[in-house]
Amino acid sequence: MIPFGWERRLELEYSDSLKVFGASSVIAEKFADETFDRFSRSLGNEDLEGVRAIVLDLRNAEFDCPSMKLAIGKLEKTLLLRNVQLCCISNGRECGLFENSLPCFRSENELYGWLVENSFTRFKSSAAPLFSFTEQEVDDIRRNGVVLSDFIEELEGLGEKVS
Amino acid sequence: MSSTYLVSMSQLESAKLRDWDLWANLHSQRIAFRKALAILNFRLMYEPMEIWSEPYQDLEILGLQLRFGSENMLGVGYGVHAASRQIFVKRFQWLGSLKPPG
Repeated sequence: MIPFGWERRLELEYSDSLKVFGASSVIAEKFADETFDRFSRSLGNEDLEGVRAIVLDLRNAEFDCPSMKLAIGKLEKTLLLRNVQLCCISNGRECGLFENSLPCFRSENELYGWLVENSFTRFKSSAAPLFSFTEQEVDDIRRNGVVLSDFIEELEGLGEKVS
Repeated sequence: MSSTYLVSMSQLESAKLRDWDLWANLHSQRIAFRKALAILNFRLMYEPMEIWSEPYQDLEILGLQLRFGSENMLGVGYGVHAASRQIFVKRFQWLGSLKPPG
């Protein structure tokens, strides 16, 4: 069981080869060391078959405690033995704190870039199709659709009214 | 320019984007939202089959390659009709943790 305070980030539709865990604001408080230790141990019991990387979303986590940095380094090494790459996403202040090779991203966008470079796919092989098209839908967009460039121009024109 | 793709979406999708823009404005995300939308538009127009997005499925009967790509908080599912250089946007998806309603 993944302990309280570490939630699975399910809003991203990644394949089974990637697991994303986020530290909730609870972790930002005084229990960071203890909960991370429990989280780390619980990962040891997780089925990581087919998993290539685990992303820790640490944007809410407290990094002032040196033991947590050590624990993250230890977790990285443990996971590498199982051929799983640990990486994290942070707000930038923590990047460079790690002495090891842990990839640390300053934004979700940087993370996406890394995932693309490393050939991760967002689609679960077993998942239902994300979307499809019928001939009627395509015809409808052809005949009555809105051109995205025109829409953006129109939106920019509305800027003053919206703000 | 002949090398660009024409990017179109349904009226329903454009109405959704308009709602998102209003919501983003109320949540101090309008600049980021519009920037992401503009970047996606550029990529869809000039490089819809490049590595920023992923091929998902070939719909041979319609001559479409379905792909999904993202920029910041915005994801987009779309079909590429290479023969006519047209992009049909199926849907935009909000990927950020703070989401607009609906």
